[in-house]
Amino acid sequence: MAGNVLLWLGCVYRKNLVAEKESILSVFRAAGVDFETLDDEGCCYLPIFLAGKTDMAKERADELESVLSGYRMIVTPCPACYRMFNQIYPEELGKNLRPEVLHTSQFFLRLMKEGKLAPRKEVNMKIMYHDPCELGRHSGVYDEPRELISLIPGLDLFKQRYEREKAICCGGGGLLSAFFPSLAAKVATRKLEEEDRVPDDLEAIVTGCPQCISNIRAGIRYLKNKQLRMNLKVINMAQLIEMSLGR
Amino acid sequence: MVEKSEMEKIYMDYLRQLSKASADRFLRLALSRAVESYRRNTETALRLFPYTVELAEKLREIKEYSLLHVDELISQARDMIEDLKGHFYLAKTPDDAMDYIGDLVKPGDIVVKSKSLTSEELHMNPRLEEMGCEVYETDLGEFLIQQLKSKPMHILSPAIHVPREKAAEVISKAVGKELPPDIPLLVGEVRKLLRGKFFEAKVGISGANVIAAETGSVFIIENEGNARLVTGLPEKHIVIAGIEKLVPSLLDAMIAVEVTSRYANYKAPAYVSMISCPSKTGDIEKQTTYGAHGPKEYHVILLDNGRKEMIKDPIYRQALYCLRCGGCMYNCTIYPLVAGNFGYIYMGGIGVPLTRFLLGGLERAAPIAYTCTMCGRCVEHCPMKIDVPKIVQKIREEAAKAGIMPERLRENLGEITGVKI
Ligand code: SF4
Repeated sequence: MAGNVLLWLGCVYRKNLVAEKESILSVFRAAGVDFETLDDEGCCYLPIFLAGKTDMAKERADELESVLSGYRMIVTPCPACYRMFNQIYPEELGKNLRPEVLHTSQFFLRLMKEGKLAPRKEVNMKIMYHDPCELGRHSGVYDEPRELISLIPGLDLFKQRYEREKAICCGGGGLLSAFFPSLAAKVATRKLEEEDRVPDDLEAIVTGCPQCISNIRAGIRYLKNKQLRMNLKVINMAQLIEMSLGR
Repeated sequence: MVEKSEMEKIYMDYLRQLSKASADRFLRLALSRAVESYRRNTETALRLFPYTVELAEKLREIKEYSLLHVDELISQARDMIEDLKGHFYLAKTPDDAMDYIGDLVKPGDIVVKSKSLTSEELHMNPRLEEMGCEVYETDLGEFLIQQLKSKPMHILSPAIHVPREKAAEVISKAVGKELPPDIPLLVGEVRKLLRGKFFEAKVGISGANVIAAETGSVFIIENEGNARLVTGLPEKHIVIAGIEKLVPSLLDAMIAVEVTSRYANYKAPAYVSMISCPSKTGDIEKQTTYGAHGPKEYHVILLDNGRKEMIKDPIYRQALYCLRCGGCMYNCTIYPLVAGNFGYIYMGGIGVPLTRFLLGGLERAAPIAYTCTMCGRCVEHCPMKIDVPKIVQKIREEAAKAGIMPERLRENLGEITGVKI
């Protein structure tokens, strides 16, 4: 296994977003990536850490280190896992992982630049990119997802009022959606209506975080505008790439 | 520490309160207007005075220095205030402060107050009333809150949730006649009512936005002009402020005044009062006599109440840089849905450490901490760049250690992650 790429999926994709997860796997395959997934992956423990259980997160990091160090690169579609391995490990838990850890948006962009992924088919859709807090403000990854999106032909990109450092949280972060899901959903509704001010003809919100996908979907159910409520989709980068690969 | 079962009740009551607030259409409307207007005004103020951003960076350094040298600054301020014939008192606890104030008031005294969140730490109003005083909040927002017997919903605009119709009802009751919901008229009526009280009052109590240690001078920023009257008309003026308000010099204090006002969405506030001692005159034979047109007695009470403990911790210390500009709340994920209900008395993300240490304790701070999405947007907007998510994380750690993590969070997390917590 040494030398391989590990695709670390994260709890939300594994358990709740199965179709979206399949898209990720299929993009990996389409690019001919030699990768593995773990049968008994388990949690990265960022949620456990955020709940205040630092000791448990530390123990889990010790345990995971031996598993993860066997790989050359870890790619994850989950910004929480990404931040856990890249930032919380060294800064809070005193652990430096050997392998490089990438978010799927960074990895897919590399594949595109290397010519291994060639999105050609026009995707005629009006979309908005949502910066997940864990990926943007907390990890500083703003450019790669945008560059990736710019390489997909045909898209009509709607720019919301606040982006990047100033982006508005969807409400799914900080465990709010586990503590008080109905409030988290209301946050998402307010974000779309009052902060982002999404237009009536927006077709999809593209984002790089499974937690945001779930929570924004929950928020869409309460939108005042019926058309949006019915039609607005929330998808990940892999789904967008898949459309452009012509599947 | 509270029992687990009691804690669960606190969590549930808190969540119910949030649910109720987020379903209140009037509140939502009032908030979204306030959010937009705050952002617009602040943007304009910062565009006109772009160097404010750099000043804020400088102020952060001043604040850090001041906290690390707080004992020095306290004694400097004490010496100067006493030298100028004012009185100084360092209160360790709210009770100490109230005892001190208790000696300065008599039953039957009218007490006028200008806005002070710190006075909430003392539970000042009910306690003054117990002592037989008649207490008037004179900031219009605070006045409404006092009449409504509710709690402030924003640190700068306490009555942010009260629409004009409600205000008309409240003010009608206070002045004893039926008034229409006409804002200028309502403001005029309150002015009339309070005008008399300012003159009758024996004691005026104010807070402070910043205090210059070198001269012991207290700065108060305001727009209504009520603080000028509170601090100028009664015979006694009492200042109550946290020790974190101290900065070394007058110039440092001016920087704090400028940054605070800009981030509180003003190009320039209507008034800044600088007060150093009781009023005095030496116009007859150069004989200094105290109590000319202003107060005869001047007292500065600085409150510790857990602040020194916060200073010791580099993460919690940051919370004491807070200028109470209120900007974070207008840029918060949760606040615009529920206002000050996302809080205890101190509110918003910055309210988490303030609640934990100054007013409410861990059991009141934990519910706020667990509803913060830790998105970090407030940090981007905070002039002091206070790392609220990091502070919130630390409070959650404390809560988890104390065994008071919310049960429903524990269960739901278990389900999502498959981990038994
Ligand atoms: S935390 Fe920062 S933004 Fe919020 S009130 Fe304090 S100084 Fe202002």
